[in-house]
Amino acid sequence: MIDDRLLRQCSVFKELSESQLSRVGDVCQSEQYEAGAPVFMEKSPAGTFYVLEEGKVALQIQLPAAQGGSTRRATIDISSDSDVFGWSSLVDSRRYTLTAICLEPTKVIAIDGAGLKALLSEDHDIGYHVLNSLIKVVASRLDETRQLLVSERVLSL
Amino acid sequence: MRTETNKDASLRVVVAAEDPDVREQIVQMVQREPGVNVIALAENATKAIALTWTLRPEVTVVDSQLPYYSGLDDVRLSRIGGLDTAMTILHEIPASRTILLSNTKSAFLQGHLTGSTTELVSYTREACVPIELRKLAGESESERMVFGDVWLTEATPSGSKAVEIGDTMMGVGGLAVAGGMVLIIMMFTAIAGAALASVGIVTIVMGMVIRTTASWWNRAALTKG
Repeated sequence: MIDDRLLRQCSVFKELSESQLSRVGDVCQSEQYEAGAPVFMEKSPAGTFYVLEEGKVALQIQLPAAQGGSTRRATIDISSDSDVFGWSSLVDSRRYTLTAICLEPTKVIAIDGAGLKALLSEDHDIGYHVLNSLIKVVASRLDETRQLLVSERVLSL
Repeated sequence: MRTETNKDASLRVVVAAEDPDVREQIVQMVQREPGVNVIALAENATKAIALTWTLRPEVTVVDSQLPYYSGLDDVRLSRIGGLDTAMTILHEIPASRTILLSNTKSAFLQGHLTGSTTELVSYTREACVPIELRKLAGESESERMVFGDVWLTEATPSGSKAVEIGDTMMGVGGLAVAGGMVLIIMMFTAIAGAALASVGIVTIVMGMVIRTTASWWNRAALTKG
């Protein structure tokens, strides 16, 4: 049983009422991973949305393989306490677009993607609050990525 | 290929961390192990990979929050290059071992504040285990990349014995004062009681001075590293 206070600390769920949080909690479970273990791999079926409770998770993208070379991955973000990742489970892509690797022993709240999508569809109030908050998180990440691109471009000139 | 004849050779380590204080703390921490020698320092991923490629150290210690080129204050994503650095070294220099540290800056800061010593640990399935760099580099079956961290241990500086002596003196002095008071109350042993209480007070004061000085000295020694 997930403590609703943990969900409340996450920016995506902080606008929900107690009863709404409880309904989200019904589709959650706690999971633990060792340092170095993957939470999910890129291109694997995206069934779970994650809230990071404790630890650090590096999100990596597969790089195009050089001719005759092996594939490598590049880190594009590091998630820490209360961050969310695994958004692909909430959209129709159905496959994760990134690999998530734990940098230390990690505890997550694993939210069943199908269950959460059904809840968002059934209760429009929850749906609005969650998706509105998620948009802000995505926008913030996009902004950070943009800052990084611009700064690296400036540094290379 | 490591052989028995290389056992006594110095173990060469490269340290990669952006913050110069963090680099220095890592150097001091790893060089506590006999025979370990830090041969180069890197402040970003690019330099770390170049140094490791050129120098071929036995071990590279990498901070997970390493910038690729330069860390920028307002750009959080400019400091996420540690894992990629470690994986590049893993890929390109098979003989090397890499330790990726997760929370270096906060751990060293905490160590300064509490006066604790720091040690390198690896995250295993069961617990956190102190890392012996020579053992890590020497065992061909050991993990080539280790996920680890900086842990705080109880402060056990050489001056703690003086702190214990100071505490003991204060305790004994306290007993002497109490005994002296009892003797004073008995009137016919008042003089002896007064003398004992006086000795007790002097002992307490000396104990406090020794303890305070030793504690200050310990903290200064730890801060200096």
